[in-house]
Amino acid sequence: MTLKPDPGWIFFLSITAVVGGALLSGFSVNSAQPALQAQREPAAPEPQSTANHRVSKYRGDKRADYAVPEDDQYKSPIQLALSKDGRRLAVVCENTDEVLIVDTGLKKVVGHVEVGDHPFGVTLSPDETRLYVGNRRDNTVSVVDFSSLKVLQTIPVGADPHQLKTDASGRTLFVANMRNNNISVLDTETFSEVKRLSSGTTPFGLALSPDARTLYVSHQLSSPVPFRTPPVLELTVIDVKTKLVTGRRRLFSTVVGQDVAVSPDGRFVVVAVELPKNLLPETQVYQGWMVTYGFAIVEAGPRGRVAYFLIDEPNLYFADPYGMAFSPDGRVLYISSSGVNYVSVVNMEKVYGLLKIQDGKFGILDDTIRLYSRHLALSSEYVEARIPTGNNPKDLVVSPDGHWVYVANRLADTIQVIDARSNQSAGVIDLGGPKTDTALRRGERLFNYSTISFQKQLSCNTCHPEYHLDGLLYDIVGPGDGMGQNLVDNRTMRAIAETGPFKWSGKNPTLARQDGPRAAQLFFRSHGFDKNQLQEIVHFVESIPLKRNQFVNGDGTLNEFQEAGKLHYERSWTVDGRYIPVGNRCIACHLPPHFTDQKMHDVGTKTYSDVESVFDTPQIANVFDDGPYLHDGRCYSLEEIWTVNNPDDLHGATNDMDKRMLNELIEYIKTVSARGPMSDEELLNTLFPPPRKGAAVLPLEDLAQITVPPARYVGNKVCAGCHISQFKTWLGTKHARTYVMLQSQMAKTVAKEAGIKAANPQYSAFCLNCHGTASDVPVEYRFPEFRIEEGVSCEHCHGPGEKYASKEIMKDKQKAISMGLRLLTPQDCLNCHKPKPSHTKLGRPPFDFEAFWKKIVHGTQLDPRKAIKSEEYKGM
Amino acid sequence: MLSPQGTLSVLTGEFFAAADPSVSFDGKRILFSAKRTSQEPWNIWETDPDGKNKKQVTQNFGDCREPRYLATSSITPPEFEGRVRWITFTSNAANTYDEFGADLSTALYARNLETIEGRGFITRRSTYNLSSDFSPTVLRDGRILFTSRQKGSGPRLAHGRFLLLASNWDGSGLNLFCGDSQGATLKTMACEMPDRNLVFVESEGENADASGRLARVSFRRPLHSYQSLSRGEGRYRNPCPLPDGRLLVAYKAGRETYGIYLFDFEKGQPGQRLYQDAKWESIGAVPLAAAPEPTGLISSVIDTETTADLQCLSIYDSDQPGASEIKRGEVKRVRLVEGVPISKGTKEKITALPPGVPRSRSRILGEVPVEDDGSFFVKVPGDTPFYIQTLNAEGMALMTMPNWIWVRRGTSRGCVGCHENKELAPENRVFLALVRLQETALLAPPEQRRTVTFQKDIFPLLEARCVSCHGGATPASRLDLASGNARHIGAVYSKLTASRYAGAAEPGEPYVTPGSARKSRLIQVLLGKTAIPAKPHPEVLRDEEKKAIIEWIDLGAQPED
Repeated sequence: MTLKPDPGWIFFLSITAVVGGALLSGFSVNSAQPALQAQREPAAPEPQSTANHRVSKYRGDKRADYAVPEDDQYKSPIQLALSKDGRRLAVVCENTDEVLIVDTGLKKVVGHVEVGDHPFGVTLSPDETRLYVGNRRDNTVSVVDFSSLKVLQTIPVGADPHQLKTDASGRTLFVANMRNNNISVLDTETFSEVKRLSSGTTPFGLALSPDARTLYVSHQLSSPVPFRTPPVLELTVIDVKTKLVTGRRRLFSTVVGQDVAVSPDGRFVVVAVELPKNLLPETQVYQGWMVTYGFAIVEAGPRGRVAYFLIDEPNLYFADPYGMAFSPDGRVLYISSSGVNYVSVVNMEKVYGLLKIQDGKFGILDDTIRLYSRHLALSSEYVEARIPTGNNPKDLVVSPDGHWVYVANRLADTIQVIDARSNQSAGVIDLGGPKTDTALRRGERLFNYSTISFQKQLSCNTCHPEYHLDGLLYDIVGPGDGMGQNLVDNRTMRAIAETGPFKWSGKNPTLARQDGPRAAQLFFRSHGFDKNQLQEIVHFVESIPLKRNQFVNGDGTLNEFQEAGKLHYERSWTVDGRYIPVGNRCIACHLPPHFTDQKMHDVGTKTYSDVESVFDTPQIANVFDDGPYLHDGRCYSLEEIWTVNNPDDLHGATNDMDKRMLNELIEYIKTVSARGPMSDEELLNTLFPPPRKGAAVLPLEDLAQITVPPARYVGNKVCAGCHISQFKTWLGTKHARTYVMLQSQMAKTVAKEAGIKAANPQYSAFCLNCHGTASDVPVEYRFPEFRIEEGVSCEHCHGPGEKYASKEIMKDKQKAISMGLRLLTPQDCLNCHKPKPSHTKLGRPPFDFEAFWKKIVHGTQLDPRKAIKSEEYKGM
Repeated sequence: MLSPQGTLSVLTGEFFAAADPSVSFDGKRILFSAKRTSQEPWNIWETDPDGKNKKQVTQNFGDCREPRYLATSSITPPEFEGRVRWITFTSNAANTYDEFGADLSTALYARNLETIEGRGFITRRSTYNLSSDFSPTVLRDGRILFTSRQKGSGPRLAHGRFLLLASNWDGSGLNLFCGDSQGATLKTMACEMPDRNLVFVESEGENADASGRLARVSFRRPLHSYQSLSRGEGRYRNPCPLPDGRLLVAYKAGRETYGIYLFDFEKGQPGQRLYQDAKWESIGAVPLAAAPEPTGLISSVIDTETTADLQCLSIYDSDQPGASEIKRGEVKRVRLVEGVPISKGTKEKITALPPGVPRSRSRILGEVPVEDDGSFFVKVPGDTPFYIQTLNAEGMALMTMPNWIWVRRGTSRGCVGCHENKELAPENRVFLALVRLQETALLAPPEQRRTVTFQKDIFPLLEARCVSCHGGATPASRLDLASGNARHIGAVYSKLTASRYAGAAEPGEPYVTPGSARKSRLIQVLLGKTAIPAKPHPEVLRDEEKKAIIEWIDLGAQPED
């Protein structure tokens, strides 16, 4: 990610030469460019660079429009800081890893400094000698000399630093570590971290009270709340002097909190929020049914109350509020709506009037507060102007004299200047950057702009802030998916290009299908994206990278707990000596590169509101960041997946683990991040470790008769050695989990009702006739590597392999057949797939060869339809 | 067509009559309604601005009027790739009587102008009101807004009431845009202005052509921003914005013909006159200019489905008069009452009905349990007009919805409340009816849906159970259901619905308050709820007989079926 001089810069250079000398001690963009490039190039070691940078499959595409330009990066200005004289505006450009200095009088870029990877937050020291910039992907803070624009120091902080603020003296710097859920407290003289304060979930914004005694922290995502209850954002209150958390306010039924601001009189704190309607069935958009937007207003003081106001209107929504700032006199509050390209001007006196403020307290009842939080038309009372901006307005700052408002138009690479006295736009300041739009850029705009939806109510970004997720469950309603059914947890947009099918139901094979008609019908209720737009947005979504995994050591190694967890992740034996079938091991379904097998599985998580019992296997790269968990988001922590929601060991064998083991497993899972695919050899070695000496044999009961087979059973590994793709296919089918499913409560009920005498259906030779392989043969006819527990494994259908399995014989199909290889007809399936009265309560569809074959098809050579005449299998 | 130079050309000279021009968003085509002879019905046509390339759009579909271009939109299923251009228009093709008007009712329809692959041309009915829906306009957000004549209560009942409703162009997502609580009764010919106001013509229906005064509401608060625009006595028609925000209107002050003017907002009267013809009425002017295309909306209607889902978050969320008196938990069930229009040509004696009695019949779709939090969840027949009554534990209506709604086939409709304040977004909480997932299906075929009529159900009941006491020489409580001409149904009906002791010094409340069994003395007596019942009436009737009387009264206590 380097900058090359671009013709566009020449324009600025001449300006810089004239004014730069006076303003910036001879700093020149022109001379700085090559030097910086040279400096940065050696600093190359970027672990997981493929995961951390935009890699589009269109990179290098001959169609020029789709090629991602390497050398002309967009600026994407996002956060702002303004000097006290209102003259110098620091603009953080997250895409070009730099801070630009804009002279607000000249309306020009007059300076520039390169900082870390993906900078975000920016703040000035009180004496304005320094600029602090948080770098999201480097997990550092750059300390920049504000006059020389040189980076003085880079301080490591927590993961994904967002906004930052100093105390009144400038000695202490607070940094919101978004993905650590805490606040770093830095000493700005020693450049060291003093302590960390626990915040809520995903701290985002920081605001200091006017008396500089109190720091308020807003959050993007909800704190843990019980299943199917509204999300709650925390507003953390920090005492600046003692550096202690003194309060945690709860903003009820809000999510995606962004900027936070304190009124100049210090009486109230406001947070830009979304008021979601995720608990309702998504039947419509009208009347704020999907989502509404506004701000929470909190009484300062230890036990302040919270009220909510919408900035929407009954027929128009102001999606994705982001930046907030008070006018210096506190009379108005400016809110940027990044989804609709407007700044709303909120008359706070009207708001205070509605709140009947007395002595800094709300004078209204809770019922009235609730009414206000739903009221779409009250905005006509207090929103006194709507000012159009450039694309995707983010942070905004107000000049100290209150005359000007500056807004970072992130996807326009401009600063919007608003004349606050007339509430009119006063033009834009160009920040440079490419003047042509790539498909990628257009796709990013489409992702962010809510014009795609009915009455502009929601954009993709609304539910996927940070191109990730909002952590909410939804009740999507569409054909075949009724109200109250199939609740689904939101899923991330990061690094999903190769993880199809999409949706928990696995219904959408491609992103184009997911983002096209489906999104139009189920979410936007509009015409949706047209063909070109669809291509662009898919292109953009596919380019969204995974973030750096903060749990892996810098050198990519694991610590001892994580290493221990990796063994549990891949283990084949329980602590108490039971064999774990391949199909029930973590690694079998959650395997590299994306830690999903992209298949549907029943892991025992179906509840009464689900129609299907199988769900898409989620990619679990960076899963620590993806909570809540399971398809309906019922687990707020990874632990709950196994401690609460895996009673029958259907979602991996975990109930034999003690707390330490489970912790180790989770520590490892947190490190899982996108990597290269496993080689076949690696996969086989992982799945088939050498057989254990003295390993337990499955204790079989009610064995009616022993059948002596024509040969011995060799086990899956032998077959997989050559037929690896067929083996992998099989692993994704229910055949690999037929034995595992006997652990379920349902299986026990069925067995009991069917009169099975065995203590456990897994021990019943009768059940294992179909649910296992070779359970009825003498022990010596099973190789030590062979396990009945592998379910309907290769030799169940194709016959014991001892005589035909060698490569020499398998080369000759006829010979292999003569040595016992069975090629099947649909009739063979009926050996097990016959109507079983005991199984009717499972509600499975009747056996239909065509449909079922599709689910297990593994190599056309083996298509049983080729073995018989077509009319014979029709109707089976 | 009037050119900027002032020259006039007639585009539709070959027609007997032509009206309702609507210009496509690219400014290149014009839709209009026309008839070639005085006998033939109105149909929709499309033409180039110079009068060439005329194409007939509708045929054999009643009188088709008021066409409007819709945004290019998609319908489902199966896929939406091929978006096509749709239009909306009104037609009386359903051939049913308006409940309150003199003529056939008109409904809104949608039709595609370009063929849909595999499906050709489709004409779909959008609105399923029992009375007329008319005067559609297309809003920038893609919805259609139209004037809807609805049943009402109170003094306006006799002629129904008029509301401005908005819905998706396929008729789903029906909602009130602006009612009749502000301004005049009848609001028509609405148009969205570039400044996000809705300008319309309002009147009390005094002019046969629905002309009247100009008024507007703001999109920011359509229910509470009514503002009268025109001053003086003249009559306005067909407001239509120019792209620069000026407003075209047709206006006449007295007996002269309508002329086309630019409206002067400051003076509240017509400004510059653009055109007038001494012999012809000049109305319905539209600028021949491109306009921004509205948001295209997807249609989720599935034509092959017959049912639809309806779910209400809380029936206690209501703005209707009397709603605040209903206590939480008081509503146990809701009753869905279907409205059956009367087709032209049937032998119903509809013209004989007294004023205020709608020309339609009611059938009970069924009752649905209401959860403690006020939510309910029901599967209803799609495309069927109905209203809802909330019922107390005794099955008597607490509130009655004052207008018809419908749910389009295959769609799911959510309601925040029951006639709730439309300015309030729903609460974000889990609703019991959805947690329990117990959807009541009210899908009995039409012939099995329950009807309760005076003639068939109530009168025989009175004869069998009541006349023994309330008849003869000394009828109990001076209520004589058998004397004189008592065999005449109408007389008995009058005795129940007229004031008690009519003609006496102190006449009392009638026995029956149409529409509210709960407030009807007859029911109070039958349930033993009056202070001094002359006789323990509760035992007189069986439960299902009481239920029939309750339903008959709740459904309006109509004299005939």
